[in-house]
Amino acid sequence: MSFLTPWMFATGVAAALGVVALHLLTTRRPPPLVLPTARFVPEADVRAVARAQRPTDILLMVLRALAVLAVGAAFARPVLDAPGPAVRTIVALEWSRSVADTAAARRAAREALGVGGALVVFDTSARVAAVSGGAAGDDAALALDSLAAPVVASAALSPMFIATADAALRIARGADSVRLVVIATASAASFDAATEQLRATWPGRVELVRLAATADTAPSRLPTLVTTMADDPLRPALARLAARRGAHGVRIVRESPSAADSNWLADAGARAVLLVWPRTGAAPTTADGVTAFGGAGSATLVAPLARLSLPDGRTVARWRDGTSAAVEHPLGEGCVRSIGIGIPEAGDLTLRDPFLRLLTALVEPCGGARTVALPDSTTPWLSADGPLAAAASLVDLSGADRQLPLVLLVAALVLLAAEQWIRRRARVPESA
Amino acid sequence: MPVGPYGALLDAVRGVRWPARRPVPGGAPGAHTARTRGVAPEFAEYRPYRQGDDPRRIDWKLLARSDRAFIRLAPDHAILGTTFLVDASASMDFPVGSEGKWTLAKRLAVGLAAAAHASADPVGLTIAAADGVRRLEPRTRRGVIGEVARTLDAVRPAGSTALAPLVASAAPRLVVITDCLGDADAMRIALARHIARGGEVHVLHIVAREELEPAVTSSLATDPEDAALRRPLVPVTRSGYVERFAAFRAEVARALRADGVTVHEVRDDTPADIAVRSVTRLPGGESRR
Repeated sequence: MSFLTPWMFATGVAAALGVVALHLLTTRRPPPLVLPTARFVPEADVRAVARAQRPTDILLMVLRALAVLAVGAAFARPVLDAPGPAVRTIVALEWSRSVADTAAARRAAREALGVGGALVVFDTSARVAAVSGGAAGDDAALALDSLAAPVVASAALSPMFIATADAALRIARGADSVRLVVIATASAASFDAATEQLRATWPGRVELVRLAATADTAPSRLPTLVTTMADDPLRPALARLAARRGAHGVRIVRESPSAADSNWLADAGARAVLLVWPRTGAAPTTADGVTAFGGAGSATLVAPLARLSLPDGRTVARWRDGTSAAVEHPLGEGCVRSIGIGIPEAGDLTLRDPFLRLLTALVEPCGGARTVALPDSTTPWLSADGPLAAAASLVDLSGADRQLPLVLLVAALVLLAAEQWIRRRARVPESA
Repeated sequence: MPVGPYGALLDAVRGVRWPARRPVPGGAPGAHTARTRGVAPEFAEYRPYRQGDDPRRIDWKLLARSDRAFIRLAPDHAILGTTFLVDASASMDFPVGSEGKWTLAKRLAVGLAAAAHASADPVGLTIAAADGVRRLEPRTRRGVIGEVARTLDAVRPAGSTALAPLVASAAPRLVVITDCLGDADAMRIALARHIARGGEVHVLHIVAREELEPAVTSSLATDPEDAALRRPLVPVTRSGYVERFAAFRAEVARALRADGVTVHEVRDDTPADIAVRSVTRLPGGESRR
């Protein structure tokens, strides 16, 4: 039996020790002595403090101490223990095609698993694959070996945290702490709006073992620029960009999009981007700042830029005053990204690195870069330092556990009743 | 003479006499010097004849030589009746179980009675007991010591009884055997009156060793004659108790001696025969044998 709030039990133990101390330091009347000359004894309180070398009224002391201990144990939320080590490990293993080396992932998981641990396998969904029994990680190890090749392209951390909480309920009983080891690529696509909140529900630190992510190995597809300008300033920039972008299709339309553009988007496949980037009417003369938020980070450009009107959509870039500079809305398997950044048609701005970084962010696949691993500095909340999760906060109270405090309180009442009975019995000869 | 457990004591004090501390009033012939002059053969002094003197006591030879009539006087001797007033209050039943104080009181009474009886003095006994006063009138007949012993043995100390009212009916020599924890003030007044009447008073103050040196262990001291009186006898109060009890004993002795009472403090571990010899010894001398 262990306690979810052990300090309450510690308080009970301290109180029991106090009871024992009171039996040692009890204030009691000394034994009577017939003394004819008692009148010459100076007057004083007849109740003298006597410090006994051995506790008095052993039975009463035991009953009282047990009653106090029972009350302390009842309020300490006792749970029935399950055998196993004090620290148990949950290994959450990403099992998606984003993982570059699944064998390395298996090895890492096997090393992290311990006695009484659990294995959670997740991609875009998550499940508790195994909970180890008595042998060190046997069940989980078998589950690891039996994992088939991943079929889902990416993984999400949010469902992993939900499955982890479920696994914790099953292994935390009887443990002192629960260790969570997340073995994942931790790419940008793994995070969503709920991830941070779900991470906050795990009451301890998370040990993140990062796996190498699969690189985009598909042949680079050149972006298509649809423009009527012979010397469109984007053209040389796209030529420099082609070597570094991924396999998804990118089509940049400098005029109003047409049916052909829609057809292209329909045929371009998943995550293709149709960039609608109108030309600037007049050459911008005022310097402005714009920041695009890509999956690999943000890119900022300060230059003479013009602000163009934009339709509604999800903001992917903002001006320095916070207004939207680029928005996107999904269309089919891809998306249409409208750019409201007017660039000068003359000059070398589009050849400079800041512009190229901005362009890189703007042509990222719909929904952000999939395989780009986020640096640890961007997710400090995920693997923040701290203590392991206390098992007490994870244990699921069973029916027996809920009845245990009641049983202990009843036992305390019985002990106190017995103590009263014994005291009354001891008092009878005194009054007689 | 059946004397029970007092045989050894009586053997030890055999031959001990108990002379009066001062001339006794005249009376029946006895062993004590009387304040009156008698006609005994030994000469003491002459006194001129006065009208009313017995003419037979005139020294005729002196009259013939000096033509003056003188009466020939000789020292007179009389008996001294002795009453033992024994305190049988509950405080004498101490230490509980051994009755050390009461036993010593009985042995002193018997031993001194034997010494007085050996001087041909009448011996009487008054016991102030809770269930009534036991009294033996002073007698000189044989067997009175055994009677004293039996009367004492028949009493168990208990309760609380005043001694002072019993003093008035006592013989000229009064021996009070008590622990002085009862009506000490009233008894002192009664004893002073007894002395004023020409009596001789001895107070034997019985003290138990446990009263002088109580055990060091903590206890709740309870007065056997007053159950409501309870005081903690603990190391803190023990020294105060010893001092106050010593002061009480000193004050009692001083006050009684100031009234002319002979005071003897006797511890319960003192052999009774030694105490008897001490009591019967005249101041500055030995008891007459």
